[in-house]
Amino acid sequence: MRQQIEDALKGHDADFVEIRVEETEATTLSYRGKELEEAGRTANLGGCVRAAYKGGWGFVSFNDLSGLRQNVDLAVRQARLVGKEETNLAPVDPHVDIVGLSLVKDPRGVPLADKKRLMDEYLEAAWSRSPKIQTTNAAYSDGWRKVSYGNSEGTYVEQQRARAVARVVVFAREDGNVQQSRASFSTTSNYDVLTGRHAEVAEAADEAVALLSAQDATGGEYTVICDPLIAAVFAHEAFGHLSEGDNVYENEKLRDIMVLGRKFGQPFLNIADGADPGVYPGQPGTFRFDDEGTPTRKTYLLKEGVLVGRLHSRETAGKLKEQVTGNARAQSYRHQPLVRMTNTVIEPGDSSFDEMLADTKQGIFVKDWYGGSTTHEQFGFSCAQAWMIRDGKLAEPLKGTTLSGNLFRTLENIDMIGRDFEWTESGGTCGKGGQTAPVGSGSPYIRIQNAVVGGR
Amino acid sequence: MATAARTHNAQGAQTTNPSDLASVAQQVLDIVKSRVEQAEVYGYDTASTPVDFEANRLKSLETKQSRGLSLRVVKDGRIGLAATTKMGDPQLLVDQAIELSAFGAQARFQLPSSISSSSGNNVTVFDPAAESLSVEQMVSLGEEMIARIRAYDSEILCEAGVRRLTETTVLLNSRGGQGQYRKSSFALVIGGQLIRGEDFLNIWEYESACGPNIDQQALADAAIRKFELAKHVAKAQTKRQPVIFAPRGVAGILWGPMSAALSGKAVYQGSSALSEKLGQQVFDPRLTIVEDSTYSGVPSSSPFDDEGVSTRRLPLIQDGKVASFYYDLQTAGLAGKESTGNGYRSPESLPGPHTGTIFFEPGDTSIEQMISGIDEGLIVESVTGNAGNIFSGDFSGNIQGGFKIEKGQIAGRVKDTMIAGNIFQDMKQLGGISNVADWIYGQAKIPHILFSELGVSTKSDRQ
Repeated sequence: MRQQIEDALKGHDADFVEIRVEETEATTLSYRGKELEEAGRTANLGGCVRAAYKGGWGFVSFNDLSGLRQNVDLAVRQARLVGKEETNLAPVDPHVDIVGLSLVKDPRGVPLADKKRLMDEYLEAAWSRSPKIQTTNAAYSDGWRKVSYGNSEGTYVEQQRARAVARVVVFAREDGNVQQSRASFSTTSNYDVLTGRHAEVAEAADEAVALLSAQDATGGEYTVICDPLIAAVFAHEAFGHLSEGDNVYENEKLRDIMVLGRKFGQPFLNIADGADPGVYPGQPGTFRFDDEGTPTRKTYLLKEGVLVGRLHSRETAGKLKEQVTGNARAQSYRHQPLVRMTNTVIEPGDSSFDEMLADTKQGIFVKDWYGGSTTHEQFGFSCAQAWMIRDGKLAEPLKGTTLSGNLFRTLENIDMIGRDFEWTESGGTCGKGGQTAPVGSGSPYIRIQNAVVGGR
Repeated sequence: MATAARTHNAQGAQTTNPSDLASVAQQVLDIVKSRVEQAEVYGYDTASTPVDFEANRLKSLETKQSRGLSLRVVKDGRIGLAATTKMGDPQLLVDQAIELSAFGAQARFQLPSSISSSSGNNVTVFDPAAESLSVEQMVSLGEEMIARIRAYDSEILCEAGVRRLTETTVLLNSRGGQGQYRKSSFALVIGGQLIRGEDFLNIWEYESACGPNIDQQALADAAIRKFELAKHVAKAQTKRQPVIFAPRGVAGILWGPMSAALSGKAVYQGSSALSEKLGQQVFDPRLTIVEDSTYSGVPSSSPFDDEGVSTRRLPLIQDGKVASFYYDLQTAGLAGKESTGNGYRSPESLPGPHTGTIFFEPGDTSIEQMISGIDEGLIVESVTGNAGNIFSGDFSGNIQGGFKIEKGQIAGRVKDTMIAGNIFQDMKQLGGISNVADWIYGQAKIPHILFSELGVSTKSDRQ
């Protein structure tokens, strides 16, 4: 593959050309209720070429690898039709690296019958909890991916990655009221991480049943304590997207707002992002080189409450004259890389959850999430479970609520940060520009003043 | 082993000759059919050339070609699935599908022995004008839309996209069913961002059709109208109040929980709140929703679904009563029903129930009357953060595209404001349905829907 890629890159007529070839395999078991509905296997092979000429880009993607040189020519032709300015890519020293898998227990080596047995046991653990369990949706999937990347500067990188996810969503029902909760486990290196977690599945079933008798929240402004999952989603949704260099690099007004050195939060607020396996090993967003062959690292976005960094591709870093960060990611060979988050964290602080709770006269405690989204200064996400807080204690349970607000105000309004850090394990993905990317996120508990909670 | 012939179209894109996709699919079927009770090969070949504009100018040209096969088998009564984009090893695909069938579900269907659109229907979803459109023409459409917006306000940072896609779908099965069709889709996206201080305004418009017959000026003008209305920010109040969902709001916010509840799969599993409500009055009697993927000219239609079952006109909600759920073959078999021609799939998974082209029937109130009849309320097009418990019928979110109505007039856009509701509780008695329905996204025709009151919460002025 290396020779094939290097040959195709010779003698082109652009400022920069890169080729990415990807091979994937995946196995899926998905259940409808207690029954295994789908046992499926996928194998993919495809490639793409990206060319830059005078700041314009041409991109070609294909499944047939035999016409690699013609595809380079086509990508270059397209770039030449577009480019009228200047190609400005931040420098990356050319390098050759072959990155293998470091696995503790390869999910691909585990017999399919064992995986099925594991999921059957988890389903039994959920169904046996209550007659109010109406149904479940569950799936196991594992996948392997190998990417071979080469560019016209002489960089060549091969990387392999693995991932396995087991998820059970439990639905409880009483008359017309349907509520859900889920248990989700994921790993990038060790199948055993997914096993032996029947208690957590049973807990999800209990949560779904408990939600049947929860009240709707009353909409309004509240002091909100977020569990680590929600706090991590908040960091990702509310702040991470504004830190992506491609939102900023051609947007002068946004750059005026996201000016390095500006204070966004209290001095105990630190938010970082990175894919570097040396810093955040084994997380869904962990890898050594991004999809432009740039080495990854840890990038502080907020340090002591102050904006100190951004996430970049070579183009956004080049334009803003900042350092590359290794955040250029493409969902697959069918896509151009975009600036994406990798693993995003809020670093731990000084408080404990008990202290936060005791200090809150009235508020809401929110736990676990369904999903969220951001449009620049407004973010929003759905919380799976919630409880009123009254006089420093957890009170009546509420049905899932939504939390939203103005990012800038909300960051300023984080007034307590916990000391117990947790990684989320929901196997979550982030969507941007029509592409999904697996991301990691972690945080301690946090407390936010004046958050807007949606309710009836 | 057949070598697929390559051709280059005008833009240099390589596409597999459609007859070669069919012949590779036939090869797979020939190898597998003697080893299994039923087999189905689904093949696709897609070529697309997106044109993208960023920061007011052309940024990239893309050529994307992809093709692959998906093989579904029934062996010893059980279903196995294997999918690939590696076309060179049909034997491996067959072996994998058969191996997996040992773990699969019991099949409850017979694949159709004949594949075609339902009699009397000529469903056309391919427009040769989309295929012959040149890249230069596509670029100039984008430039025109951007120029129009910037002539209105040069501070707006514009993005645009012009998309053209052609695809061939091939379906063959061991019961003799054979079908093939081509589809084209053309889409325009235009929008921009306006930042004043820390106030962000993002507006975009999108439309799609099978052919290049979208009015690019009208689309740009629609965006401009919204920029104009959004110039002022109006303060909403935290209280229950009338809310109008514009067609995009209905599609983006209400249709999710509705379609989840009408899915034959959710009904069969009991996760739908409508499981026991077939024939019953659940919504306002003025609400009628029909799924009709036989409607030509829009990319959400097709002559038959991804299992070869013909599409047809399917009333889902009739006069507020639950008229039908929608099914694929397997779900229908499990539920003791017939497939409704709603079995769609991504290449890498088994078919499941999904909807195609959707029609909400118009009502009897004009949009002007709806708005002028509201003393204080909202009109909503999009929200962010709506990802809650879809099966409970809940919807909520932070309003992204929405305006306040004051004394019968649109007063300005709202910010920091959330709405929340439940389709089963809040749509039993609607305030009204508009008498005009609009095509949106090339997949649904929807009117404005007025809720007499809905929960609205907003940030107070103290900070």
